[in-house]
Amino acid sequence: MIEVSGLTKRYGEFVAVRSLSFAVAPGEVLGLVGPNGAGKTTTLRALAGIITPSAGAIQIGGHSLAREPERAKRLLAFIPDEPQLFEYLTVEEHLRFTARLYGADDAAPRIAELLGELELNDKRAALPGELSRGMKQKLAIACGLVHTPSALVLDEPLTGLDPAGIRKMKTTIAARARAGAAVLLSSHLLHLVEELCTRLLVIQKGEAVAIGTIAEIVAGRPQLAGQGLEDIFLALTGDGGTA
Amino acid sequence: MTRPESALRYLLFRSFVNRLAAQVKRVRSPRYALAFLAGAAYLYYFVGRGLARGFTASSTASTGDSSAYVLAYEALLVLSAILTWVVGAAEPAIGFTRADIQMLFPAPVSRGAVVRYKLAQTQLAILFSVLVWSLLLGRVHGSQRLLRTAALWVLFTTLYLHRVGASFVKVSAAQRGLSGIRRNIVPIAIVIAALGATAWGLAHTWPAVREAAGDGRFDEVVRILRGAPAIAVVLWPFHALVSPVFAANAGAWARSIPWALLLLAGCYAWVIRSAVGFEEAAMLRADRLAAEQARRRLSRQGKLRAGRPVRALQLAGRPWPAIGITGGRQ
Repeated sequence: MIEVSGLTKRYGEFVAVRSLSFAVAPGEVLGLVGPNGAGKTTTLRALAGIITPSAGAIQIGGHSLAREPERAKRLLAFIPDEPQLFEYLTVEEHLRFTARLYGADDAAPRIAELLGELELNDKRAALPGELSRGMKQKLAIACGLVHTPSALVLDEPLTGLDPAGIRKMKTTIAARARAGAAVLLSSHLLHLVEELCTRLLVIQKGEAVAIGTIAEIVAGRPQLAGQGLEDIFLALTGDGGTA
Repeated sequence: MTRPESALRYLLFRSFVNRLAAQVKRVRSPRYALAFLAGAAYLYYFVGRGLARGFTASSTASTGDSSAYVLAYEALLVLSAILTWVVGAAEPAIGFTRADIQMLFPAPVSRGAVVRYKLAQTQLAILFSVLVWSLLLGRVHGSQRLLRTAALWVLFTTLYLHRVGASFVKVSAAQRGLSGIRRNIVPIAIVIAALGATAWGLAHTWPAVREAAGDGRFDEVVRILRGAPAIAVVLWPFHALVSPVFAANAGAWARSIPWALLLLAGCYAWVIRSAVGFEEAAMLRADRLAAEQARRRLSRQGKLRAGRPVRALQLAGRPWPAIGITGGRQ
């Protein structure tokens, strides 16, 4: 369970995220969408504990990220859009390291399973410098999943993946949600969001403009009835008509 | 359940081993082998030959009167300490990479453990500095070489910890304003008190200092300044750090090293305690460095492109001139 209430992030006078509140229940996939600069990455970084909110509270699995950061983070996996890996750690060592970091004992079978599932078996002894962009992304995904997290925060998880990788990733995300994980997924790929997400959170200029299932969002805005997600998104964010 | 600290030790160890293996592999290529040989020859020319001759000039530091050296290094340390607090942006002095930020900051590992990992990672650079300085400071024999090396390690590690601690205080003050200052009131008060005591000591000794300086008696200027109680108190930590490095014998080293170790322990405790909320500043620093690196790379590529072509390439004809001009690059 991910719970965010009144999340605000200021950089001097500039407010990147303003009083954002939402919750992601176990088994649910919440799609976070918004135009560039809407505050999606800031929100995800705050959830991952990389940046400190100026105000508001974040709870992961009932643990406050501010007061019990280690307990909260143990339940969480953050998969970023641009994978940054340790230059001198091999693929397999990255997984071993992450498993130890999150206290996942007896991770060997899980590591073997992930290496096979994400087609990294041939590259298990390779350093990140020898990997393609897609392989690096797969490794970052594998690192996020090695401790079977109960809350998943994904920022553009399909960037750099080939069609087979994209299909596998979609299956993995759906499987994690079915297994009871709360998933927050940020993406510009609206067809992916439509396919995977149970609910949507649309943000613009750091504020929530709509939250709910597509049907719920449309129900409050009759002018959007019968339109596709792209049109709904553009209308909500003010880029393609009125919301 | 394994502790995150064991993961960080694993990261340190495996990264070190893999890096070493990669470098050995690289030296096998003729280009890097040549660069390695050139580097080794350079080191031998400037350090090895000096060692062979016995560093006659600088050996006075270890065998003769070392007070001038102690004083010179104390002055350098004072300058470095002042610069640490005055110069530089409010960002952590620990160089977090983007991988550190992405992999460690969202992980269930305490800030203290992350800081300890980065301090351990810095030890390689510190040990290299210790090696270079122990060579530069002149030849000492047997166990004394070991004692000096240990003293240099204490000195460099304490200086680094001081720089990290000061950067954390600056980050905290910049991010949290008054509450950040309140949180670090003890180190800030110590720095202000040290500056105040120095100003007070200088004001009281100024007539005597001016007279001695006017007569060109600079050793007297130093004696007067060191004799002023306020300045002596401020200089004590620097003296405590430098003294073991220039200790004339094992007895003098044993008497001076506990104070240096005490300072090292104090700085370490301060760094671990003040490691609060540095993640965001570390992320901004890593992003800034990455952007600068990308800009430099683009600028280098731009310069390469801007070069005048050796010969204009025809749109049609034999492929060989094109291969010759591009060097086979695609």
